[in-house]
Amino acid sequence: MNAYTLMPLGQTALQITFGDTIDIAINRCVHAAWLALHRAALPGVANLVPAYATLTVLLDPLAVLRGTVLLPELEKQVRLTLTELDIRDFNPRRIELSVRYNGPDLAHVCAHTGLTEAEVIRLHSEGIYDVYFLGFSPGFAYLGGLAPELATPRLEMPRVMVPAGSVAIGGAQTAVYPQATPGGWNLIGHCPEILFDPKSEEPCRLQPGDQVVFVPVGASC
Amino acid sequence: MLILEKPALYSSIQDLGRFGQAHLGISPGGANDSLAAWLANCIVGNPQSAAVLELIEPPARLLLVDGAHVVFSGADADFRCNGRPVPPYARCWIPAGAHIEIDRPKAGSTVYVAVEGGFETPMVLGSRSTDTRLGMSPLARDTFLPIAVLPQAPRSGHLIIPQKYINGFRLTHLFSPELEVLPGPHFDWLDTDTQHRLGERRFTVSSQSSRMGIRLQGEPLVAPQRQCLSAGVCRGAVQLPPQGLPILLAAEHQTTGGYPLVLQVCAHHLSRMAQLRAGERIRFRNLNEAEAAHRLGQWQALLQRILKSLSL
Repeated sequence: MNAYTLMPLGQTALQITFGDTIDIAINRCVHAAWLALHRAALPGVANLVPAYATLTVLLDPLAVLRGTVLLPELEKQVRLTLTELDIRDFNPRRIELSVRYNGPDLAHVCAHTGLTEAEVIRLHSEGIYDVYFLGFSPGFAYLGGLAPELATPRLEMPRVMVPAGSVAIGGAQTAVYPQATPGGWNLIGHCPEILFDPKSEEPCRLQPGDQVVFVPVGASC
Repeated sequence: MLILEKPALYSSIQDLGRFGQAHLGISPGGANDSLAAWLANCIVGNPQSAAVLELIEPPARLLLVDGAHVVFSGADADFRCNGRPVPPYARCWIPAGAHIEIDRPKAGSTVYVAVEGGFETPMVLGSRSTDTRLGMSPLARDTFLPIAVLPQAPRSGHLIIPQKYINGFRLTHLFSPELEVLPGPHFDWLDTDTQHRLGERRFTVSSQSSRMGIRLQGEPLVAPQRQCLSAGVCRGAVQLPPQGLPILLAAEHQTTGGYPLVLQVCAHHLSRMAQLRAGERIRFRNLNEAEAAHRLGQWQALLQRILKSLSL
């Protein structure tokens, strides 16, 4: 297990830090720690929030105020859980998402990158993307692994509404919008699958740590 | 059944919020002043997971279709049932067909209404808490709110918490002009001058505040120029974005954030934070770890006494 630091955020949260860069090896430690703490189900832990290089343990603030959860005690249990941690325990799932590459900004991405449409589609769908974490909105996955040639700056003026399922490039990142939200990324395609359904037992198609592959489907069907 | 005849500025159903789903980008949410909501449930005799009505910035008017025990808590507002005053933090029998009026609070922003049995609005991902990002809507005028029918016979009579506890409790959490804080993980990124200013400067609560975050207005501070990697954030975290005006993360905060976290509101003042209202002036008061632990201990003892007085 990689070295980590443990720091309280006030009296109701703990932040476990594994590094300070966007790096898949560091991010894997975060997901392994998430899995271990999720399984340990320590009393008083309300939520576990993975991000690029950190795992944040949120306590129930009311439980802290009532004295039913004590941060120093929890800190000890977290350390104990992490000593037995093996990064090999975490095996990412492989998720395939079909994409129709017909987005309104595809031509703009071609113009910016100097690539043809076919090249953009090939490069984007050849990649294997890691879900670093979910955030911004429910089910929104921050994906790593975009081919550097495809990097395209965000729109100067964000769209008021981006349709759910939009596949987009923003700077050096790519993502699929799980819900209709405002957004400033370049829309290059559309994924017809439901990525977020609050009525489902498993509301999010993508989970932190998953690997995602985009499968192009014909734009005409 | 309760009818929200006249909603407050923002009216919603809230419970303890969502647990174990923040890794999916789903906010913990739940009652903003979770202490006031919890006490209301305790006093009315509900399980702590029961859903209550959260009214941010009343006035508001309710119609109770069936008679029920009701407890009001939170902000210091006048409550009237058919024109007669009703005390807060007290279990009162409200007869069928009664109109309840809640005035604009004299202090604080948010009122809770707990009805015996709890509200039975639909569950979404394990909670009834309204979260617009989950396709749920705040409550509009004339919304019908179903209330659970209790299997056991209702208890009769009134139950009132001894005033000495409630007054002490409410004075601290509603009227303090200072918000007690600890240094956040990026406090050291501020220059020493700004570190001092954070404790001295008075800010005004912006009307752009919401259940997600409380925005402060005033003379901007010098924000750190360093960038952070996005990381998980918690309730009460004080972000300092580049324009230099702090944002306090409330119950429905986003799960991750990338702005420097310069302060953290102490656990015992999260209710005080939730009760901030637009236009109010506030100052931060830095506590050290020992002081914060001492204050937390005092609050834990106070809550123990309140629970004992309710014989729970």
